[in-house]
Amino acid sequence: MNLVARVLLLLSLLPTAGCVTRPPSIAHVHLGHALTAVHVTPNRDGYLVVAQTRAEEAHAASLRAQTSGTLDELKVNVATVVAASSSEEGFGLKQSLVLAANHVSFAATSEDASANVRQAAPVFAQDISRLVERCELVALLGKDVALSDSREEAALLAEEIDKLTLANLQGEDVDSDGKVGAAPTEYGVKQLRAEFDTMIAREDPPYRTVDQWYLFNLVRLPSGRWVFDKLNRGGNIEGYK
Amino acid sequence: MRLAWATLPVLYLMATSAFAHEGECKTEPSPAAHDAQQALQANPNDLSARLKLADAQIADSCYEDAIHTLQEGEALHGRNQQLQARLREAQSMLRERSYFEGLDRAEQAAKISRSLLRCNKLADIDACDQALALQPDDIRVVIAKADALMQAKRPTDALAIYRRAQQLAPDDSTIAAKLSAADTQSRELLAACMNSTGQPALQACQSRRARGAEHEFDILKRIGTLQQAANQPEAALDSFIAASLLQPADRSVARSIVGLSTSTGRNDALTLAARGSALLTLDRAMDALTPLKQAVALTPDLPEARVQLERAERLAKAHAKQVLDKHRQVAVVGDTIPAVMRTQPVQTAAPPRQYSNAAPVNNSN
Repeated sequence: MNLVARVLLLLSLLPTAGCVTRPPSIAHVHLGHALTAVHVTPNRDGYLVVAQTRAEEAHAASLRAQTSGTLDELKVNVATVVAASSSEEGFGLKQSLVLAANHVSFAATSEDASANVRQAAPVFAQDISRLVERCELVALLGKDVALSDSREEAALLAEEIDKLTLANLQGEDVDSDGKVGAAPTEYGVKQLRAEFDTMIAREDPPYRTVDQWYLFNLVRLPSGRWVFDKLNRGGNIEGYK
Repeated sequence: MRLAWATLPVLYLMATSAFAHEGECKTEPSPAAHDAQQALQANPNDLSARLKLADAQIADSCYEDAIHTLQEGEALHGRNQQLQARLREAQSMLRERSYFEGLDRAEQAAKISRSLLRCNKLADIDACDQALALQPDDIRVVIAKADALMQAKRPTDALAIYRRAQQLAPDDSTIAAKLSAADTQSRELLAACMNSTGQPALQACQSRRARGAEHEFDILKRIGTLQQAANQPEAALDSFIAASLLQPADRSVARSIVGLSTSTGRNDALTLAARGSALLTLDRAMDALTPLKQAVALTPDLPEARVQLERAERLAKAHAKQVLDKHRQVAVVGDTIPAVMRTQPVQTAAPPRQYSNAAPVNNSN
């Protein structure tokens, strides 16, 4: 290949490279916090990923609680369920879902948000309600178990907690129509994730996995505008440090 | 640190709502909104006045109004950037408010579910009451409470609640069946209460007893009798006092109260008032004075004791007058008796005995 051909080949690749390095939209970065990664969570997982993990942990612990031999053992397992469901410090399921909804809401209020995201954000925020309610109930019943001195009562409550954790994971069939998770009042993490994925799939231009640099360097200015921390000043959604 | 990071988005949203857009839309527009409204009315094409009005409406938490103001402006100013930015903000705030309302509702719903669960599965009547306090007309909660009362073997209490459920859902056949079952159980308990003896009878009476229900007086009286037979004088006294409140004129209950208050030696205000009332029922007004005075001295706020005391004093005076009149008659008749006998003074009615409020209750008073 002569020199001219090589230069032409190189020039033909440039536009492609330009597309790859073009920054994502601010709205998509917020969606990426829910979906892919965010720097505050354990393992920097996205909030929905954390929600899925916590829902699985809660259900596993509730199954262990059901087979606990002693009241003390049962109480320990239920305490684990409660932490996985509603701990704020440990990004429990409830907290992770609320944060995911917050970031979808941030996406919707970004200047570059698509109509699709603007319409979907309030629906998504509304649809986490049933899961949040179950997490609240798990916490309340968990307190009852912690205070109970009756093995029988604690076992009965643990059984109810198990139903709630399973519903949070897979959804439930409230209206007994044979369909699990058919309506938002029946949603678990599975259906919520599907709703989110459907919203992402509707994006035009399409949503592409956001590079971690963008995910971890989004900053909110005092004016309310979102920018990337290109000068590496350090900051977060509250603004530059 | 991790907590701080994690809560930042929530705090941001909450802070934005709390400080800039707190609460519901104000009924009266703020001075800023009022001024901007006037400026806009004077010149509807003034974009600056429109934006000021929208800002004031957002600050007053009147997001719907702000959206309306800005959407009207779209027709005049097209896709103006400032207008669009404010429109987005107002729409976002409106969504955010309903989002937080949704979270609050979830918390409230969880509390109700917890109370319902404890009410249904553990027959926890306090939990039933908590759920009812939050949702008084929720048929599920009303039925759950009645079911819990049935589980607690209190069919008469359950009956009243099932009747309330039937008012809320007249066509529900399951409620009718539950009502019937509660009624049958209530009748069986009443029969066991009145016809059996010993502890089984006592248990049946206590289960059957319900405030304001049919046969309440008879059941209380029976409970008192059974407790007395079981050598529980204090409890028996309480039962008879409760019965006397329903039928103060019942002489057998009054006799039991006098007897048991004497044997137990109880001298609290309620017992003294009950004893005084019982003595009045037994036409012993003079004897009733002391316990009633003591009851009023111990607890001046006992209104019934004060009324009974006034009654006792009236009756005692009337009784003293009667005795005096009787002696006067004897004296008149005495004019015809021999003089030697008249030299003896005619014994008039003894003056009313002096009672001390501090005097302890004993067999003589």
